[in-house]
Amino acid sequence: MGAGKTTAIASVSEIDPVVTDVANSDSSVDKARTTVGLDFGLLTLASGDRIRLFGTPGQARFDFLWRILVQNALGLIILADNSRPDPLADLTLYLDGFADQLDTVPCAIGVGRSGTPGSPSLDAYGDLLASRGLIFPIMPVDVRKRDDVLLLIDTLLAQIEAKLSEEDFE
Amino acid sequence: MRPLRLGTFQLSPAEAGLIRALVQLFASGDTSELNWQYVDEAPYDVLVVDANVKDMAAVRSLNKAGSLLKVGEAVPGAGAGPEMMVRPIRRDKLEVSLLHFQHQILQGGSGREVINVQEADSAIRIAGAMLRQDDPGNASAQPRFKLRRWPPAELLHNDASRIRMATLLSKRPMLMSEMVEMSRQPIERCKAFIQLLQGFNLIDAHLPLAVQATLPGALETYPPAPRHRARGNEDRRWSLVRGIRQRLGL
Repeated sequence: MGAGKTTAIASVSEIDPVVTDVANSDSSVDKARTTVGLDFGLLTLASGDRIRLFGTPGQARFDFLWRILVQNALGLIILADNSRPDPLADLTLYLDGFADQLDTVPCAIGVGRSGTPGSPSLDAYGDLLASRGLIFPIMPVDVRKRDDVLLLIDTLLAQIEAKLSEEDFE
Repeated sequence: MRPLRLGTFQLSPAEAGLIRALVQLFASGDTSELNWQYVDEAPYDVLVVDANVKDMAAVRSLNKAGSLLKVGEAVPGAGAGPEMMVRPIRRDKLEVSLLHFQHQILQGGSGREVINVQEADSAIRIAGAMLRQDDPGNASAQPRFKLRRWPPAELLHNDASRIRMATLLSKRPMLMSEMVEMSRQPIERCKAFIQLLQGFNLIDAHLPLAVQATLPGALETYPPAPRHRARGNEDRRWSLVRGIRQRLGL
């Protein structure tokens, strides 16, 4: 929560994101509004195909939604807020929540507010992934910068291309 | 952290000058994580020496050098690593070596670590793989490279092309030619990146089964026969990926 899902979607969506933010009642997080349902954005391709961008609530009680949305997903971006009290525990929660899909669904980790004093380094995120036998791109992200969000998406596409090209060679 | 001290010993004035210039270039850049200064007097964190110098231990001791970076000629069958730079000295090679030493020093080592047998074997395989990669007449024996874990931030310094190359190497063992094509980077840059990863023991080289079968003691194995696949779904996904790239300008 507070990682900037709504802003990230807005930076690439062709429509104003459908936002379901409400007033935040969690006093541990310094933000006025937070996502309780889904954020939704859209990209229409030249072929007419539509790519749907979903932002899901970060709280664990919504993990049933994660599993629904990841079905048939092209890729998954986990936005971590490095100013949270224990961002590595947050990441662990998401990795557990998506554990069944991480073998097949491309994934990238964007770390927001990565320079927060006393917060884990990017390498600590890498250590956590390595301890679980996972290798995903990890990068600092400022979701207000479109280029940062595009780089995250680019790494998802690169993963898809790597797998598809392997299948071509088989 | 104070800049690490780099010096040279018994190199030609031209090579010493080049190294001095490159170190200054690294220090003035806003993207490099290298933190070095060129100094003329001991002590040195790393001393660059000609590989033909006879008594390396004495050179290291007399110059109060933490580690030695050797510069020499290419030797067939012996791969260059981050502690041995093959002439001609180039920016990418020096960067790989200095990042390697910097990483070791920050980790608390002296730069003269003792590698275990498994790591040594891996390094030899990768060095051999890189040599094969340089042999255009040996295309069928080319290795595939696969990342062991996501690289430290100091190696990527949030460079989009490095992140993209690492991403590709994270998904499956990949030929250099595939990496060049898919990352849209020059082969020299791809090679330099793989050498950089090698210096940090972050990459594996997978030899083709047919080549493995020729190695002493190898099991008699054969590459799998090509199989025909239903292409419809793959074509659809390729089309989607291209469409997204086009739409987002990627």
